[in-house]
Amino acid sequence: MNLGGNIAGIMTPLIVGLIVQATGSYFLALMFFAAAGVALLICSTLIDYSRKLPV
Amino acid sequence: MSEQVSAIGATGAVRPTGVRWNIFLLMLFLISINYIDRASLSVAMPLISKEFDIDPAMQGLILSSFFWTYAAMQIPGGLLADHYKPRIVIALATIFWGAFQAIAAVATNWWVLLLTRLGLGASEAPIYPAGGKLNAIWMTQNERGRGATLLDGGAPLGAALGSIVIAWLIAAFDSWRTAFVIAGVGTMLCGLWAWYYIRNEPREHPSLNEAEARYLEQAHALEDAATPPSSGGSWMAYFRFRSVWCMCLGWMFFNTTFYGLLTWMPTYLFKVHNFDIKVLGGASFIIFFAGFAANWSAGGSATPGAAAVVRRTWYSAPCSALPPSWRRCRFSWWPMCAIRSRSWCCCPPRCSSCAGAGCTGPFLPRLRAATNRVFLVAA
Repeated sequence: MNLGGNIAGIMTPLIVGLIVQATGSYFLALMFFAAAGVALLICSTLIDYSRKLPV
Repeated sequence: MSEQVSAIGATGAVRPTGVRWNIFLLMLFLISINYIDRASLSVAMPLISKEFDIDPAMQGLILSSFFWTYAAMQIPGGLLADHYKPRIVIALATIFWGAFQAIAAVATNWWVLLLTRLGLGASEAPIYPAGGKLNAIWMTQNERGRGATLLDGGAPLGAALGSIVIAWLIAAFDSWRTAFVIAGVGTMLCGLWAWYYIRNEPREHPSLNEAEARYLEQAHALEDAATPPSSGGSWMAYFRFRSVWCMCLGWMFFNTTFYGLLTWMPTYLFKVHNFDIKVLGGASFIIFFAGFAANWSAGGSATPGAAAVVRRTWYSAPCSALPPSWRRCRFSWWPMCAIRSRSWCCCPPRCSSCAGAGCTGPFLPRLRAATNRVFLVAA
């Protein structure tokens, strides 16, 4: 789980930097955040909070 | 917290001290500083990029470099906390990252700056695993949720305070270098304070009275007796479950917005909206303080029914605020505030990730504890 967070930490500043460099604006970078927000919403909704893992 | 302590006090003849809560308030403070220091470069980046003449792709590389060593040192950091005990690890880590923060002030080109960020990342990494260890040692089973919330709350609080403190220092001294030196030296002094106050065992602490020591020992003895022996199952087995994948991916997407805003927002506000450095600090403060408030309310109520309510509430409002941000209005940073606060609503799993007993290693035990607890939450 922490690994996921750190991958985001490594990749996000790079991706935003490249987007800004390539497009010369921040619009797509903001859309990138919005997309991540939607993806987080989907992931959070798919977690089954009612069940304990049978492991 | 004070209600908790007084509730315990009412049952015994002698009122127990609350040393453990003081330690965790100190940890909240240290982790806030941890985030102040890592956020400082982002706030100063508009000035630094002009001074060093670096393009956006290179800025992204320098902002990212912190995480290279930070990620690499997560597990070694946990091993250090296990082997050398939390007190010395927390104190030394704080002193070292303060030193790297101060050294960054004398950088005259991008690669020296990048090297200091690598050092900052490596020395900031052990604080969370060491904090998790303190949570296992100093808190009882029922208190660990709150302990973890105090540890986790430092992230958005530090991000919020960092922008305002660093922006204020830069404006006051008219120099990002002076601001970095003050932040770095201040951090090192806090490292000494951590050494002065934190202890590895409750009994070693001079301010702790017999009642608190007994209370902790009894709670831990009960807990040990109730813990079933480890099943020894492979952790890979967890990845058979959709919920585990979703939790890991969700945490990644959460951090995409969190670290994205943390690293790039000051430059964005500066370039696109022409905010000056002081206004910029205030705007960043509002955005991340919303995250702190959300974290606090959600973590404090990570009980079965409340978690679901909190989750729903924190989702719905900000989602409705998302579409306006697409219009890129003058204050398009404001909807971001909503995105941020909603993001923290996934923190019941995050808070409980530290809550498992013996959560000392950074990744696997956390995942294990998190998965167990998440599915216990509403069970």
